[in-house]
Amino acid sequence: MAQKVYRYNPETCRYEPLVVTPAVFARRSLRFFVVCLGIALAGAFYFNYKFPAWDEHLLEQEHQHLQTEWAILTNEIDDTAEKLAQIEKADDENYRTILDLEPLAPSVRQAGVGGREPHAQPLPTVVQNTYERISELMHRADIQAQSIKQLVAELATKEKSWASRPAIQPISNKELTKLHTTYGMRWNPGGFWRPHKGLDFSAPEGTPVYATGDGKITDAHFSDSFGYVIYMDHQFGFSTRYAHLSRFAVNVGDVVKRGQVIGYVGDTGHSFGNHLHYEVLFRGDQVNPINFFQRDLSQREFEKMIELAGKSMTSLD
Amino acid sequence: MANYRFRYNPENLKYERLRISVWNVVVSVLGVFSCSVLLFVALLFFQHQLLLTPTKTRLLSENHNLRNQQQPARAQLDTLRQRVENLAKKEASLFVRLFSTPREEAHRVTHAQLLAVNKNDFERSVAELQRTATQLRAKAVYGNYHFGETMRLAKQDVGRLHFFPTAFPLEHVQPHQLVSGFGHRINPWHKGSYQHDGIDLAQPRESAVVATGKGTVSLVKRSDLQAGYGNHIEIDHGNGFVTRYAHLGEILVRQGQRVEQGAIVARVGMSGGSIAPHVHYEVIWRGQPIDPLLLISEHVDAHLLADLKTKGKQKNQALD
Repeated sequence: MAQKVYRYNPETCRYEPLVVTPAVFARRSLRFFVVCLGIALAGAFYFNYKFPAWDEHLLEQEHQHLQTEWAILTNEIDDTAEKLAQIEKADDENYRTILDLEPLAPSVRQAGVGGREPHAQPLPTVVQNTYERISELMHRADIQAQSIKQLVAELATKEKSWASRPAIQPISNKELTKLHTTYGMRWNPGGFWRPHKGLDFSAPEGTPVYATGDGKITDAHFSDSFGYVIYMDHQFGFSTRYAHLSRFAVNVGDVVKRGQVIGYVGDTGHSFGNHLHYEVLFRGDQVNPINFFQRDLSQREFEKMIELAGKSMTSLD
Repeated sequence: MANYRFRYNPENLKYERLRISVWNVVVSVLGVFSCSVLLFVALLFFQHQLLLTPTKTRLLSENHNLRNQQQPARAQLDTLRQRVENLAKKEASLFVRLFSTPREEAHRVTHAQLLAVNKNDFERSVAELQRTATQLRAKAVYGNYHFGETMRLAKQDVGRLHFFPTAFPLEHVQPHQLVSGFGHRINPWHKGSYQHDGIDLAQPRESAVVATGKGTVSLVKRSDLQAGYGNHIEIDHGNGFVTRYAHLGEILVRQGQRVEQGAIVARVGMSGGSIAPHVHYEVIWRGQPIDPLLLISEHVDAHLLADLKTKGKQKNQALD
């Protein structure tokens, strides 16, 4: 409730109501404002005196804070870079060595790095560096991805070659009654020396005969000398023959896996007793098959067997 | 007197003088004070925003960039990370396809794990580690002593040490070269388990293979057959030690030739039944193959040896 305020006027000896004219009000307000401003200015000066360049410090602080965040980012990039470098190292030193490929030249790995379109404003160094590093790593990752693709393709070929190599015995050791590890010239039951270009495995009739590597059945027929015989092509220069079988378990043109039963032991063709005659051909020439199932033996046992295989023995066909 | 203020009191019909109360003073002081504070803040704000020194301009623009570029940079990093992650996955699957066994991850402490560590646990494990270390050190001293006793090496016998096959069969030792160790391994051809009598050291073709100890070349055998040891040599070191280097490329020594430890005897190749260019290295002691890693001690430090031994223990696929 606004109460009227009076003032005693000694000239008129009366109490006169106090009227605040706009001019007076303005003057008073100005005075009030000036006083306040003075205090504020004094305060501001004192503040500036006490904390010189405080506004720069504030910005500096924020700058520091942001720099820290970028440092964390850089750290993460470092981690990623290290991971990538490890992959590259494994690629060059492990996989490429083992898959018999040349390591990627550093110039290939670094090819086309750099060359980022300039930003409208000049960016702080750390930002620029970060972008450059990310784009460099991106590029290296791309190259690495291509490299891995190449490695995978190479490995696929190699795996095929490994799987198709005739590397096991065509007859399980359990079924085997006798192994004639004879290869080369030797005495024939017919009564004359002749080259014997395979191995004979004695086993009861009907014993399963396994494919010794992945491959394709190119031929399966009856011949006078070999009896029921299977010809297999393993690619990569290798082929195998299985002769004197009692019957077939596959047809011509079948693609078989290593260890798959392709026929059964018999006594057909020019043969004296149930056995399997097994041949391995490399680029069209017979080689000693003993070399290709050494993997069931240890290396030393295998070397011993090779020695034994050199000695003459009577053949079964 | 002239400036006194009065108020008309209708109850007693008198003009009463208005006294300046404490309250009035407090109100006006507070008014002035709050107004000053407001102005003060306004002034500082003005200084902060509008009074631009060169430093401030620079900082402002840098801060602006730092703040605004963070999001896109992080987005790019995430893409990159994902790609590298994918690469790592592909690489791991490649590893499994090559060696038939997943890679043993090195036990490295991540930052996250480090941050999650309980201080007490940490202190306890440090204490435990220290205790174990002390015990091991004592054991090592004891072992060293016994080793020394057993060796009973007279001064003139030191020369004989060179006859032990203690070096690495390659010129530069790196753990990644050791692809397959001694013992039962997976056969690369038919993927069955078999006894692997040596260690397989993958290395590019044409790299040097060195004699691991002083000795006489007792066997040089060349074979074109894509099976068995292929081109291989044996070196007789005396004391019942024979070393064998198999799947070689070019052989640089003759039978009966004397070789020094570290002498280049052959080049790496892929002869015999081998799926990759590598050296198959065997140590035969009194006719029995033993783990070659037990003997390797030249030019390797403890870390490298530990690395080699961990790698050698992995039951992975051999290269032949």
